[in-house]
Amino acid sequence: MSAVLSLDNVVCRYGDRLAVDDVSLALHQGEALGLVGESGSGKTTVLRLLLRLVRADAGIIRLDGTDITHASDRALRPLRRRVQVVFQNPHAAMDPRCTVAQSMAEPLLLMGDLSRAARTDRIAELLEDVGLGGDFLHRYPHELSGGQKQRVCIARALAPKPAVLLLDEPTSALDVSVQAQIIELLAGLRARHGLTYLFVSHNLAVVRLLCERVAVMRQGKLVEQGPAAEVLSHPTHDYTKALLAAVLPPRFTQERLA
Amino acid sequence: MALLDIHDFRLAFDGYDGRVQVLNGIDLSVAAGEAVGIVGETGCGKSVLARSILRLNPSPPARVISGGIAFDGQDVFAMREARLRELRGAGIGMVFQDPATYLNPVFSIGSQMADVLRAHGLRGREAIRARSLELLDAMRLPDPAGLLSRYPHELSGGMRQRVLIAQALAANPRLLLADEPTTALDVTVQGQILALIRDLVARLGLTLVLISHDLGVIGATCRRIVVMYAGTIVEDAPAEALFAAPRHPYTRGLLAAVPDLERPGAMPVGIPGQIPSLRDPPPGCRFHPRCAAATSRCRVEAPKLIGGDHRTACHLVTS
Repeated sequence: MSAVLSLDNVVCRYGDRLAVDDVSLALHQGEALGLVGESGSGKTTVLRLLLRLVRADAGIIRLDGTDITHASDRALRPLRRRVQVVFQNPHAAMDPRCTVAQSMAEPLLLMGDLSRAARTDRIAELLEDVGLGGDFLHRYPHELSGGQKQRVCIARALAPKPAVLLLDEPTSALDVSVQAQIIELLAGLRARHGLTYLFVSHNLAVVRLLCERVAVMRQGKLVEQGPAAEVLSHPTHDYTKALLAAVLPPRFTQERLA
Repeated sequence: MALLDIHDFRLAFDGYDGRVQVLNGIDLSVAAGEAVGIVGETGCGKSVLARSILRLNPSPPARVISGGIAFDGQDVFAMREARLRELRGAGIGMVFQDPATYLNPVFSIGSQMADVLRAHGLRGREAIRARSLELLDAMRLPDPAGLLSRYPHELSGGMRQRVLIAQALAANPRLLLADEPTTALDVTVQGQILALIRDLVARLGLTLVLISHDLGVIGATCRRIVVMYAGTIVEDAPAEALFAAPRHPYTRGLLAAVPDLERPGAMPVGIPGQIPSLRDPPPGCRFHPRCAAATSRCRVEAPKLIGGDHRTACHLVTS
């Protein structure tokens, strides 16, 4: 299996704080990798490094085998469509002044290779793909529910036909009944389009459902990685054990505490 | 007699574009010593209900349409200001979701503990210091004396929430009302805070009302679970009974929607549709537009919450 996106011994500092400390991580074609850890563990920084939104202080970042650690913005631009991102809070990820159609047209305009009519068709097709009909085209974000907004954000990320989706806690801001719908959507999209996912989450149960592989971070370091079934049922690192022990399953009762 | 008695409580918010009926006939009694969890999704009214118990919803816009809330036999909405101040803190201690926003960043922990203790009538520098140390120590905070001179930004989220619980318990309330006390915290810290709450409830003989969107959090702290949907209570049952045999279609949907690490093969199932607007709620049962089993009766007649210690508001269950 070839790595689509990888970090080799990457270090990232914010001032004198080590946010990412010598992390090596490879994202293989077609897989879903879960990245878990507590707040401040460096998960989001890893995601930003992969997007080249922050600079690595050491190490190498590769996309499709090409070293992009120090690639210029101009050199990165054609590569950006390969890797797209969906953020945690869909309410903050959409411009309140733009309709769904306008928000979605932006990445297509930036790609610049579609006619106006082709763009309109593509937007309709993308909305269909995430389970939203054409009547959403001219709505504003405030007219959408949280789940609908997240669907639009996912459709927008898919617009440039990326190979990789970086998903930063995409269901954490949603209610459970909506979260389940988004999990189902993400699983379906991946199967239909052969997408590769990096799924950043603190919810181990969601990671277990969506990812074959899981990597655990703590204080900037990667402490454990491996097949999700293995790591989440037979963790070897103490921190992974502690994380798992802290999970409260939905049917937890006090009888089980004894 | 119930310690907390909520009877046919209807609360609306008056806005420029009409009235939003946020709570629609809440009936709930909590006996002294009970630990009751209220679970529901965004906008179901659980936080508004919690705030109503302490009369914290500003009025206007909040308006009581019918019913009332009694604490220890006294009508909360008939209380004078002085009595209300006693209720807040000495009767009921409240803990909120985001510990960062409930501490003042420019004052030390010691000075904020002293503020609370003075508000409850404690006088004397030494007495205040002693009581502060005692409270912080009971929260299993390390080095309480050193903590007094520290500022909120020097504390972790879990430590801040412990300080806020100490403040909530400063006047020895009988009821602890906790609104999403661990939602802003990491999972490992969440476990510690829930263990602390359980321990305090047992040790101090507190009555607990805990509000959360997370069934796991509720199950870990409460023996009885109340499920809310769109401003109504749809089910109220002992925790084991609710998990083993949920009756209301919404409760069943909620349980089926939560991903369970213990059942990795089971894909969670979402509830189709979305939470209704409370400005224009559906007639009849408020869940009927999302309910696969809804009948014509469900569309016109609101079901009553009935049953013994397992109450359900659903025509399909109760008829």
